[in-house]
Amino acid sequence: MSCTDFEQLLAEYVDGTLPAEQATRVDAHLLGCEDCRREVELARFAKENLAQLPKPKVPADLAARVIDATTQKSSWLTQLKRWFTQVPAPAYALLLIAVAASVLVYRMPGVDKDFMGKVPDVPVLANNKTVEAKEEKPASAADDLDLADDKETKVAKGALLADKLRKPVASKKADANLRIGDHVMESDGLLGVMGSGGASVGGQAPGKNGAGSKVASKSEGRASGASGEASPMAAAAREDRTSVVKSATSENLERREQNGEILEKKRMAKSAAAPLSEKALPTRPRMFSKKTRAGMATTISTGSGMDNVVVDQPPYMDETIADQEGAHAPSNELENKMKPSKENRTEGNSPAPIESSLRLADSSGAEEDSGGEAINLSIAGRYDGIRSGLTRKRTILITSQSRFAKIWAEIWAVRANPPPLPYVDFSRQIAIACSLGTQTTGGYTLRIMNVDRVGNILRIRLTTKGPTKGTGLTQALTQPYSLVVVDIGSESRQGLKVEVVY
Amino acid sequence: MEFVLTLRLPDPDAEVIEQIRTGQKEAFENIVVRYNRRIYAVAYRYVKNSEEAADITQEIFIRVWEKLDSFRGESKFSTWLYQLAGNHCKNRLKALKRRRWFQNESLSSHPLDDNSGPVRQYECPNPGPGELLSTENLKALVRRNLDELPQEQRMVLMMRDIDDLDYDEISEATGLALGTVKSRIHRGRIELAKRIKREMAGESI
Repeated sequence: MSCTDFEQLLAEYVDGTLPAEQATRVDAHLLGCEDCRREVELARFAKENLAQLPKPKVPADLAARVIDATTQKSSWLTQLKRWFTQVPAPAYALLLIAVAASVLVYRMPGVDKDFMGKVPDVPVLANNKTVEAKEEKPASAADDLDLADDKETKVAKGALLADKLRKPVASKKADANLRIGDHVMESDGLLGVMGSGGASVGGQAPGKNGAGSKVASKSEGRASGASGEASPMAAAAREDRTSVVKSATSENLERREQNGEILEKKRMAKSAAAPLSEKALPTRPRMFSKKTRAGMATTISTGSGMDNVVVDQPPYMDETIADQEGAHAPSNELENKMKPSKENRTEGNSPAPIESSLRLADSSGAEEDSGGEAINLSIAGRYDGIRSGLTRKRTILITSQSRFAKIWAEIWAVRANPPPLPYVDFSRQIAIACSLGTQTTGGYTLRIMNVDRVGNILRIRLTTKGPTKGTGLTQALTQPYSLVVVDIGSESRQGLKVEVVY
Repeated sequence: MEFVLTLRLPDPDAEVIEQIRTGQKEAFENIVVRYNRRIYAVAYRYVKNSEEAADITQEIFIRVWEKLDSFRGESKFSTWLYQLAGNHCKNRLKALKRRRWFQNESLSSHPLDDNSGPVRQYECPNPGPGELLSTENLKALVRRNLDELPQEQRMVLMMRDIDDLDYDEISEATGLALGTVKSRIHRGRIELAKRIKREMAGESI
């Protein structure tokens, strides 16, 4: 046996772990082999010295961490795996059926899902700008139709709106984000789908009896398919629609509340209607950063009869809630829905109209509203942040302490210890809050830059920012918001309208 | 004609594994407690960073837990475990190297290495003539020479003589044949001793 043959044994020989029989053989070899003897001495020396070196310091909590990790894993991953492998096939079939059924039910008329079914974005040219229009296509349209008596009118309106929506005059995309969409005016529920794609739509609804027009407008998604049954009313609507579209594509971009006129024709005939159409309200020239969404304005106003008006708005503003101090009792939407009588719908107890109009104004057009000079309202307080309980896109006009407390609580719902409610003197101040809704990453901010009063319009200038390209993003849900308290004086807030300018 | 008789020793983990399989999940804690330090040692020898090693250890046990069903008991559980650990470490090391974190394999100069591991901060022993090396200086000297050994020798040597892993474990964790591990360790020891002695002789003269 040569030295090489012993090499593998010598490691264990040095360790002292070699079985006795083999150790004896090694001993015999070492007696006669000087080299191997020397090597064994060296190896022992190295081993002794190596044993002196400190061992890697094992983290004290390693075992606990590992146990935790495996337990956690077992709680969902392995159990899920096991579930999938053990659950019999019929269970999968049942699951599939359940999912299919829920989808069907979800799509069925009668299911109140105001966020359902969106019509694909339709680019519409307006003032040489292409603006993508995104419109809510409520699946509950049919249901809504049933709520009102005047089906024809609704269908007509629906056809009008739908046709208008599907009028692609696109030439280029100005900005993917520069979209007007989701204009659903609501009164504690829904009021109506507002026009989009540059076509301004005004919907008048009595404070208490918004169901009718709401329903009518909402019905566009379905009504488009049902336009065959359009009545003479529909024809009238079409005419109007044509003019609206023309208007939308025209250079001067004068926006009229034509749709509103159509929507409310019947009502107008019966009641002394409040102003239905008004001149377009071009925004001020762009004066903020490039990111400012200049050129777009959304207006919502409240009549005294409304407590809350909710408007789904374009890009970041889906919804406006205007709260009137000392407002009448909240409109009983449920009642309206349940008893959609024509009379109730058309001759509301609160005749004060709610106008909502969407205006697409040229950013360079510096015309002012007929309201006159813009008065900059001083901002008395400001609260901006990126974490809040405002999970939807909203613009909220707050004119009462109780409303303020509610919104304040909503904003700080994400905190265990919300800061105390700041004092706001609602006799001369109002508060305005805007939120972007839940964003899936950080990097989104918005800020109410200033608030101008032009006549009875509160023009909120808002800047929004998205994440900067190429920068790291916080992977967290954020709900950016901006709340300001502005001095408005003791003037009446009746009929105050809010207009958001990006 | 030669017959090879393979004597299979009972797997000391067999009972625990059976308990886990019959639903006593808490029995897995025994496995973790029994092996976590050794698996950590293996991981540490691969990546040379305590945090990374702890993470890898955790990942290894998670994989073991997940794949326990696929352990057929054809080998000892520990064999399966060390093989799995070794493969995981190798994959992880590859990924880390791709990220260029591990350009320098020397522990002493490794940017990710930390003080929790074996000695890495050492001064150059500079004893006077005939002066004996202090224990600390000797350790530093051993450590430095160990670092200078070829990687393939150094890793198995450290696993054996510092971490006290046995030859089977080292073989499984490294994927080397048992004989290779043994001879590599023996040659590594001799080489290290020669280097240390050479340096000590040079300095004391």
